[in-house]
Amino acid sequence: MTMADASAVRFDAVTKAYDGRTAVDSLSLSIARGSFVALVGGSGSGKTTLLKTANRLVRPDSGSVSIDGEDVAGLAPHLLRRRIGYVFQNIGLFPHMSVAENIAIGFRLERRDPGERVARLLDLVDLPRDMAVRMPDALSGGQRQRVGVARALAPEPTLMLMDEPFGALDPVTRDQLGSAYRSLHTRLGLTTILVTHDMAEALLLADRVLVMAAGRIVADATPRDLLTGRAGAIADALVAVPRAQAERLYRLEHGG
Amino acid sequence: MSEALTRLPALLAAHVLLSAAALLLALAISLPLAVIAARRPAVARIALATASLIQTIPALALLALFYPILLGLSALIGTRIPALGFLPSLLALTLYALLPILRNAVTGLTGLDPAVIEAADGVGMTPAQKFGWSKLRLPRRW
Repeated sequence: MTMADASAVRFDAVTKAYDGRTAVDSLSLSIARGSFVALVGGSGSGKTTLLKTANRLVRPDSGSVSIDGEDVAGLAPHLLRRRIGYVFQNIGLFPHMSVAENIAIGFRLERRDPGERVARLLDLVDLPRDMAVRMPDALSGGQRQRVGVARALAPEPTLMLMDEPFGALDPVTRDQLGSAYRSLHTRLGLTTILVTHDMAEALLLADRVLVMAAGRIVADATPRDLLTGRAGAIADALVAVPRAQAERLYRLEHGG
Repeated sequence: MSEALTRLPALLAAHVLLSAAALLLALAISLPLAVIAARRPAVARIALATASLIQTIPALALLALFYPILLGLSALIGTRIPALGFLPSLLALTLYALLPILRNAVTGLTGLDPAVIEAADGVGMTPAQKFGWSKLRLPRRW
């Protein structure tokens, strides 16, 4: 019990296959409360499937997932999901609702009054308050994903699941939003699981990087350990790319 | 001329009644069918093919087709079903209304952005809320 209490999310022998092809292979993992964990891996490595078992967008074939010691299978999926922030690459703002209505959707679903929450959430994600009345199609990609983050944060979740949240954004916006979210994570005391295929993003944002391949975790280390080559060969290969790029840029700048 | 005009309100009322009844009947059949069809492509194929087939039958032929069918039905169950007038017109109009309603409803339901559906799940909508909030969005947009 004390073990369960120490971790925000716990995966126990989670297995999921699609048409006989294994996506997640008997994976066990414990994620500490307040940590920022990045799940890195190529496409088909099972990282998104694993993430989605936490809010039951994917139901595992076997194994279990618990959040704060409570098995997620024991709750109605919609009630479970209302307690968990979920942000994904394609954002999925409701096109017929204003920014304010999108952010307040969690309240509307439970017939609660959002009160001043919408304005406070806009402040939180650095959007001007007068944006509340705009429709999603009048926003830039970066602004939309800020609204997506605000919508996910609205019900005050302690756990955030993010699936390539900044993947469709231009590099500058991506970097800005990544850093902005990282400071929100710390400020609000969240637990965050971020799925990304971008090792540089994982290294710069997370406290703990998990590398997945063929449905298993093949490396589990801090960014520093990954960079100093203490996380194994597969991790080294993934880290080599952003490192080589950084070195090339450095040489370009310093004429080496 | 004036005599003809005095009959107009009654005829107009009969016309509106017939059209409205056919429309309601067609909606009652098409909308539930469209919801099922949106989830099952096989149902969608069969339903749309059938509705399209009906659409190809000329109106007069459809009415002519109902005459023997309704007469036969009357003979079969023993009570008299009117083979002319309101009932066959209602049936024909209902059948004609099926295709446009069905096709538009299926297009509307399946044409939803998958990201919106994922978001609806992600924020914790129940299936009923999903239907109400995201699927019936078109009337609100207009």
